[in-house]
Amino acid sequence: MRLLTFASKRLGRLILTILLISTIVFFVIRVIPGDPALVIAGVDASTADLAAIRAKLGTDQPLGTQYARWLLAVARFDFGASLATGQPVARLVLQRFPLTLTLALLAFVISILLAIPLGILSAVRRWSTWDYVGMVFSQVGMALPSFWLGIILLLLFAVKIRAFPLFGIGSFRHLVLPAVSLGFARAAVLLRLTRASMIEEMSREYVVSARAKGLTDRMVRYKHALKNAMLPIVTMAGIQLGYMLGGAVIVEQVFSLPGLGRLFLTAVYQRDFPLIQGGIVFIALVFSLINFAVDILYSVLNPKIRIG
Amino acid sequence: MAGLIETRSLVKRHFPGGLLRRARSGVLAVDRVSLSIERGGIFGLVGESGCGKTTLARAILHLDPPSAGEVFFDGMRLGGMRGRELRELRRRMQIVFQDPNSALDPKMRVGDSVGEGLRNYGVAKAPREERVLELLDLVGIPRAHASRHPHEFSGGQKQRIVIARALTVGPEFLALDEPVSNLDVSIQAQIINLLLDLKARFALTYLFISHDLHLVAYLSDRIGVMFRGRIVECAATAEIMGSPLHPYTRRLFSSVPGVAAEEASREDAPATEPGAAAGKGTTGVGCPYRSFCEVEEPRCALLEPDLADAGGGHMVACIRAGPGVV
Amino acid sequence: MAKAVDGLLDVRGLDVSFVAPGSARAHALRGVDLSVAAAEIVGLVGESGSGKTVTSTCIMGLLPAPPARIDAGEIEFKGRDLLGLSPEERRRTRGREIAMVFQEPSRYLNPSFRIGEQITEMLGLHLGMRREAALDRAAELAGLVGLRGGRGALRSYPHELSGGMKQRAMIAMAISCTPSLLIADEPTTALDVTLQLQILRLLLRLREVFRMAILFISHDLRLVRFVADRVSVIYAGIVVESAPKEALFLTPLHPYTRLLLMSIPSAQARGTRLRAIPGRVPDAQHVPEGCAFHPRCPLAEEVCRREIPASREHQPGHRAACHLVGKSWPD
Repeated sequence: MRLLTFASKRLGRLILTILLISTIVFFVIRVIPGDPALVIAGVDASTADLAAIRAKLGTDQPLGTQYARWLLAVARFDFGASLATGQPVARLVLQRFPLTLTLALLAFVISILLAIPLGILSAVRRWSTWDYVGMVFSQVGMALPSFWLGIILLLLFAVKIRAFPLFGIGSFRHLVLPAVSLGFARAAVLLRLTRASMIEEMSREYVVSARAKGLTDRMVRYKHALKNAMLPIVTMAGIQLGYMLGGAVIVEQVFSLPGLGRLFLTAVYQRDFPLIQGGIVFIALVFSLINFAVDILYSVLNPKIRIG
Repeated sequence: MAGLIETRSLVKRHFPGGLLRRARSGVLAVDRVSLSIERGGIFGLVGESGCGKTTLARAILHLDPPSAGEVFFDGMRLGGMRGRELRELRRRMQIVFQDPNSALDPKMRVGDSVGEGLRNYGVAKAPREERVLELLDLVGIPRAHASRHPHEFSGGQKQRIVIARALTVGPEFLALDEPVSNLDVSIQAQIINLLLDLKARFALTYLFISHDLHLVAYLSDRIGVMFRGRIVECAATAEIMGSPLHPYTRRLFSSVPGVAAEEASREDAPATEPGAAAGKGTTGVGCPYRSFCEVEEPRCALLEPDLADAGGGHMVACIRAGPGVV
Repeated sequence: MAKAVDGLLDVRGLDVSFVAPGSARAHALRGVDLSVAAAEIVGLVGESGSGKTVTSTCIMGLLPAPPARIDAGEIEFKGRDLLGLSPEERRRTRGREIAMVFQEPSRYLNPSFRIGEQITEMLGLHLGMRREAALDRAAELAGLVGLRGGRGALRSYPHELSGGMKQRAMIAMAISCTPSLLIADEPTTALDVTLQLQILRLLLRLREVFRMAILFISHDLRLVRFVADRVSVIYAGIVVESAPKEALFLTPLHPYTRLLLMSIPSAQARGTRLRAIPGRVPDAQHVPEGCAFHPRCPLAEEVCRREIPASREHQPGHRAACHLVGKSWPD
């Protein structure tokens, strides 16, 4: 089918996903036994307080009305005000998003630049020095917790060698160390996948065919095999980006960055329901958008997919 | 006299595309097939890939219940049977598929695989094992190898094991779907001879499906030619080889060097594979073969020919070759 | 017909083994002799494990160097020994002078590139053609091989074409630079019956139009009979018989050939019992001593167990590697 038709089908799925997630969020909070108002206010709150909270949350309305209002809220991205700060949820999220976005993109770029070339090299020159370097890097990267790496980086580059600031925001340099510790771990996984994917494609029959046509090694590897090898890599990279855009909580904590991760984490501690709800829907939206982009990219790379 | 297997207007629909597409009417994999397989005979079914041969075999054995139509085994209607009755009937009809690798559980010893059917029917261990060994002897597998696993055998040996397994429960009817296609030429002959010996020994009836026309012509008493879910011609082997009546049959036979009396030297006719361009109107009214047919007439677009007797039991589905027309 | 001394391709004594650490050596080719003259179609017949694919892969220079090891032999092509060429020189002959068509077109075509692209890249690489010229030539080739749809077909992806069309596309790619030799490795095995003859006729046409030699590899003697001029039969890594087509089919000299012919079912053989060859093709790691066929041969004698028979010319152009040519058969 044509790309446009495919894209609109995928868009339809995206909307359906958001709808589904919103509904689940709605029901999870309301269907779980226990009164959210109680959870917020504590067991020995007064009836008046509880009533006030309920009115605020809107849980005193019939379920149908609540659901309708909820869906409307999702569509307008208006989740009311945060219980903790009183600020509109949407504003809070959008305030912090740029930082998270920058951090995620930076980490993403670092991850791709590290993983993909090294992964391809590893696959193409198997059992060579480069391959061992890649494999070791991959193993180490996956074993190291990112917070540990973060702290080490801080110790080395912010304390011992005062190359980067210790915490806070304000300049690009503040984001370098966090991006590296975030990107490093992702790179490790991506490298492994790149290597495996490339090796698998190189062993396919069409590669034999390409060689039989007299194509150079370079053409065989980087034109023919690579195009097909990119598919799972693109998917994984997309998932990683989606995850990072939702807020890399641990790294944000280590580096004291006021990003989305910390925002949502705090919301959970404080039982800040509107913010939690808004957070979940936001993350779902981001993820779905990334998935959508990946799907489109996928179908450009692999024309067979457009049939689905 | 009714055959051991009789089908009447058998229909099987496939619904590609998953949940959301089920609403559409689907593809007719088997389109109103009526045939009769005589007891003790070999019925050969030929056709290109995708024509529905395997689906038909599975429908006959009730592995996938048909969408419409009837199957009769020894006069009994399969569609009306349930539970125990159906299970008992299944003992009498078995099937052997093309790929012995997917037919045998790699983790099971072959002796256990062969005896699995008997175990399901509640036969005790001792008589079961005896029967398994008997059959392994008959198919030419040394008894000592019963404790080995499938990967320790060659392709031909695995196929013998699969045949042994099909025979342990004592069937009267065996459907064979491309049983030797994956095997080497010299092994094929061994398995063919084995199948003929077993048939004679156990008085079996075979439905033999293959794309290898030579093989089908060699083995079968009666041949049915399938095109897109329909039987377009069905006759005794000598009859159909000597005077194929349906244009598709003629085309099929002339495509294989050495089969037809005349080596067709005309230009390549348009491809009939499922993926090839459908040409004008293959759905709806009229003969489904007409867009590929070299003797098409205007009335072919109006009528859908049924299988009719053109004389002496030679069945053809073509208005030009119907009764009285040669 | 004299042996093609100044032929196009002359393989002599090709000896190839596969060695993997920890397992026995697999002696895949034990001295293969094969020759193809210009514009000649030679059929190479053998069952799986006989070495026919290793032979073709070796001629193309596509054998993975470990674990494969070429121990002896020459592959003379247009006067040069291919085995003595550098990898780069060898690469330049591929596609340009010797091309190959494979068995399963759906696996051997890159699913992510359009057919046209997969043809024009060769034209650009080997012949230095520019894009427009290459596209024109590709359209021409598509027409030649019967790939319907002209430029539209070129813009298709492999999965959009049927099996027969894919195979034609592969053939178009293979002949795009007009190679002198085309190796067709079981080109019709994965295709439906009605397509087989079409593809074979296409190959015959290509030979006529381009004076292209074809090495047609198959396990199906009937197809080979239709398309080949000469036939070589390979068993356990050695060519056991080689003859002009009709001589091979009418008066086979080697017991294996003869038994093979008797074991093929045909409409004509209806009612007679097939002569099956007992046992199976030996595994390359356990090739029997002496003549590799002797355990399965009804004529076998002591000499067959001890000595590997040399290939000798028994009639003009008809060679066989057997100690007992001419011995009468027990039945």
